[in-house]
Amino acid sequence: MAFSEECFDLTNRLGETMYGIVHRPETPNGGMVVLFNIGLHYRTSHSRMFVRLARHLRGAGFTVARMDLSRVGYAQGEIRTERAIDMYDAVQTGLFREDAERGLARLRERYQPKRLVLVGLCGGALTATITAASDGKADGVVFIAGPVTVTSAEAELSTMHIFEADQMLSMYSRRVLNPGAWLRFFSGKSDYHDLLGALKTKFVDLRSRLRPRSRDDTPVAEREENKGDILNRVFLAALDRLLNAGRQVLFVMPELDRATYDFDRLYLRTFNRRYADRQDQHRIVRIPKANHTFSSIASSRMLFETIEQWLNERVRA
Amino acid sequence: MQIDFKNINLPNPAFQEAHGFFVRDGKHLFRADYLPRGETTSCLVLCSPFAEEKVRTQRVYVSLARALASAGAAAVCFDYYGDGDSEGDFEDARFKDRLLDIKAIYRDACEQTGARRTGLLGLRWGATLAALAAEELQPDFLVLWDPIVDTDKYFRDHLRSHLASQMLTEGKVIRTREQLIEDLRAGEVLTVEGYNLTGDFFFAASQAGLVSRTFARAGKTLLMQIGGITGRIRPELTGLQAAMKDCTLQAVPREFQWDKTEIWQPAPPRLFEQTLNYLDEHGFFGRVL
Repeated sequence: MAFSEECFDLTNRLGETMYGIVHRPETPNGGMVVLFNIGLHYRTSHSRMFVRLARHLRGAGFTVARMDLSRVGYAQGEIRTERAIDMYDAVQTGLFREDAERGLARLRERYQPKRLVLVGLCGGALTATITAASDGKADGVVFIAGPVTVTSAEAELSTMHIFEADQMLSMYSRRVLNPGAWLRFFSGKSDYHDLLGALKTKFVDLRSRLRPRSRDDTPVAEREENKGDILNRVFLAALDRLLNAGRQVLFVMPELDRATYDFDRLYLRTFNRRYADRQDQHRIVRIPKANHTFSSIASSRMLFETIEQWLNERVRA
Repeated sequence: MQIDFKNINLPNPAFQEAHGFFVRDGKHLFRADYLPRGETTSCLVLCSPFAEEKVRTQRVYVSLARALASAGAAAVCFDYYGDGDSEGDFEDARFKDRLLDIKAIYRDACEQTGARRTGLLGLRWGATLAALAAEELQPDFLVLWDPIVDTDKYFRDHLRSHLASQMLTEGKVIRTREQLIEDLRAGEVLTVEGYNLTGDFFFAASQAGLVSRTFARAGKTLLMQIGGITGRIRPELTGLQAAMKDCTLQAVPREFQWDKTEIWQPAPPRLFEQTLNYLDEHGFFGRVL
């Protein structure tokens, strides 16, 4: 297959240049896919997943664009923070929306696709959803392993997530009959800090489950201190707009990921209730044994095939 | 040098940025050139580190390229064949492709810019590759940011990620590190942190270290230790310094991360300042001090 990738650039409202790569198919099917970065990472994504995904979809006839929005990767602009985690909330509530809209406008003008789908991983899934809703012209969104909650940086740094606590305690429980593991434990080689953190998280989680549940999902003031358990309202509003406008949404959730854990625990009930009458517009696919970045070849292949199949079924021109 | 590193990524009319693909032996390599407007007499080519370390530090390279260009030197960031935005899959690239990529990009950058003072810079395994390539290219300057000296240990340690993945997906270690190495020897492809490693690549890269190597290059070298106690230099780096001619060894605290992404520091000020000052003091920018 001939190499058919080309660079493009554009400037945002502040005059900052953003750079991207377009993968052009030999036989275009009229569909275009735009990939949005994970958090503050650049356009290749972890283990070049976006490069491989773009080449896979290009092979199926889609024109695919990957780009760095301002302030990350090759793009111009500065993020004023010292900790990446302090930007997560901003990313997940639309930090890159305006630049993404500009990018879409440029790509539409240049390639004139008949169908356009936005794809994002993690924070990029939120950028894709929020941008598709505000742009109003995209035909669909692929939401990969996106967090559905807003984040508290301090809580994130001081508390182990329940998914990670479960993973750790499960690992210890599997070794409970292993004499070598006990030897390590009593000889000071175990990570007591993490083990205690996991036990604490499980205890707090158990206690909260025993409390009566609120019937309303709306965040209330007394829960503000625990932002990690609050649904991202900007995301919910964007999803409402997309589904009400008849757009298609594919959720791809990796099995071994805290984003999926939160998705199931906090979001699925709301989702099923809100969109029960829109079953033909959304699909949730779970990828077994996949982590947040789909770093095994089997899981990334399943991800690529899932997306390709969905694009062909739901949004192909 | 007085450079505002906090704003180094803002638009700067003093230089232009050009992205494209460079063809080496039929292989398309992504490159980003940072070119001062007007005449430039110096050029530095930046060699990326390995796998996810490259992903996590890409913005540091871009920021450095902009800092160099704002100071009047051309800078080139590029991706190896099978890596980053370049053509090919990771497992397609042999170890020697990495060196061929560096040499081809370096020669082209020198020719395109007409630079009279040239250099190579690398971080971690990128520094190791830069040091190896420099033996043939003979650049005037070589900047090694915390190079991997013992590559055998580095690549063996890298396999630990595979063990962690086994624990996560299978609940236990199914293949030990020694068994994984045997698998590679038997011709199997191993996926580590999402990158496919072949035995050919793994063993060739492991064996091409800087321990006990003799260096014949005549140019100037800046060797930077990043992290640790800055007053205490790691013995492997003092050994490397002794093996190189005209090599200055300096240390800076670790201001950014290549093993995780908790800190957002795209332009580590101490590292940039010491690097640019060294280059400036030794005439890289062509200024008379």
